[in-house]
Amino acid sequence: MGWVGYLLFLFFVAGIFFVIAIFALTWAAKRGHLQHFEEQSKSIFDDEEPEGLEQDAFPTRRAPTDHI
Amino acid sequence: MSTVVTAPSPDEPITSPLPKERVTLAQIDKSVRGPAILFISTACAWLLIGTVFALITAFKAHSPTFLGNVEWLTFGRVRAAHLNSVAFGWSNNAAFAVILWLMARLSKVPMMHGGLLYVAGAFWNVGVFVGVIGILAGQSTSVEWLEMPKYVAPLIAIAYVCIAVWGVQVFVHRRQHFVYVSQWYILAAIFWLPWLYMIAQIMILYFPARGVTQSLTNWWFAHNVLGLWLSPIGLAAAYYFIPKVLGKPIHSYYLSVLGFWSLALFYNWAGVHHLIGGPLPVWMVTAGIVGSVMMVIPVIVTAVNHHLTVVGSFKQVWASPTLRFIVFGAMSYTLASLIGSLMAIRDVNEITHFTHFTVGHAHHGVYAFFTMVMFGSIYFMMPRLLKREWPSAALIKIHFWSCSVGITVMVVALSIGGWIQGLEMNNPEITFIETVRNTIPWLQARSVSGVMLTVGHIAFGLNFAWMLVGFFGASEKKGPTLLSQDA
Repeated sequence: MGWVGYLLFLFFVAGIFFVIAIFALTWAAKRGHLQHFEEQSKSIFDDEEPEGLEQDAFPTRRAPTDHI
Repeated sequence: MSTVVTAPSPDEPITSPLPKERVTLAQIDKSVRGPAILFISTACAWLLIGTVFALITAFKAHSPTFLGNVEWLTFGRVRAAHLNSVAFGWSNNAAFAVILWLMARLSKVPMMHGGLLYVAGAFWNVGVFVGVIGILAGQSTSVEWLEMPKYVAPLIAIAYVCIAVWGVQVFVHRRQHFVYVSQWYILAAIFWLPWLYMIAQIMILYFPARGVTQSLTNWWFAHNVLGLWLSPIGLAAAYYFIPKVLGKPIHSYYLSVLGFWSLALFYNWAGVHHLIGGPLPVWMVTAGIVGSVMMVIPVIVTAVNHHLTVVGSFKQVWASPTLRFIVFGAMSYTLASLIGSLMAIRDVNEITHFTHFTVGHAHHGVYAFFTMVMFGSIYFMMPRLLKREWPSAALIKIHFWSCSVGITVMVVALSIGGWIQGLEMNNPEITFIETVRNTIPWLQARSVSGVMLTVGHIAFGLNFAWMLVGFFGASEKKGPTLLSQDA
């Protein structure tokens, strides 16, 4: 493959990559993922593993249940 | 699995109310159990195999006659076998397990039709096995980070596509309106890796570009495998496990989003700094240096976020096997990345280039950061996947201390030894052989650190196997690691 071929190939793949990146950013902005940051940061917690409760300890220790 | 969920479409704006009915975490964990355990088990096996290759390589570096008459174990072969065993065998298998589990949990949806992931796992591991045997048999491509013979690539590619598609399909079917920052990192990494691998395979192995273009493609690929594949997965895990285990949200979610987009913007250029001083256009090298130095932004942002989340909770970090490893990894990420940015500056690179400093830096990133984060992730995941407690706290502690002290010794020894080596190589009054001889004590220190890491890996492997087979009281979960009520 000559250098022109490589260049065309790279531009083609880079173009697809760029379009996907722009799409992702636009999608995120439109769906509100670039706001409401505080709620998003708490989305990993739920009833089973709630905020304020530690989730891990060495197996021989007692389960920590105090809220921190 | 059977719970019917009437959730609104995930594409609705996140201000919509959350679905009231949902599956439990235990159901989600159960759906990922088989594939995740397959990937973690094979990762452990590759870690131990890669460690044996690493030890042989380390000893050969200062004692060249060690196994010197075994053709399959010459330095050039066994070093590449080590790299590919730990990069493609350990790191990627562990990454696949973490990606799939995290994505399912964060999407609040069980893994559907996970059976195909067994096939993907088989393809991946057969591919890596054939590739490593190929390297040992002398069929290495001699291209850094792509040493496995090119006939392995289709196996690897098929396996990866299956795993990536499964990761994405879980996201598409998510029942969680919020897209957590870990999901951003994982999704981006899932798209970045095939882009890197495809370009590298085509331009280096299948239709080789000529001259420096090939070297440029090689370092663009090799460095981005760390920065755009392993790092995002390590960061995704850290962003999930640190707040999750502590039970408090990340310090600043805004900073985490800023960190993600700035990494996406700047990292792509960083690999060029491996070719400073090479016959490349100056603008290209300069752009690589700028990209590397600009990486300070996402690194500082991430460091501030991780470390301020942990501040005030060191007691809890110490009490958690998961966080011991992950916080060690997060601290290493900060340090390794800042050193990496410094190494890209021409004056510094003039000394560190072609020395053991670079080897130390690579281990700082891939081991002290990524591998430690994967260990921590596995310590959290396994009790939830198997509904069993880790059988031995002592083995976890041996694992942590051996690995944390071992990797610190390695990075410090190679950094100091490499810096001295660089200064001596730039000094015309010192002969080359003298420079080489002066590296021997530092290489011996690296071997000592390798023995320590081996001890840690054996402890981890023993604990993992013990837990997996459920012998000697490891059969039922009663203790603290697993706190999910209905697991």
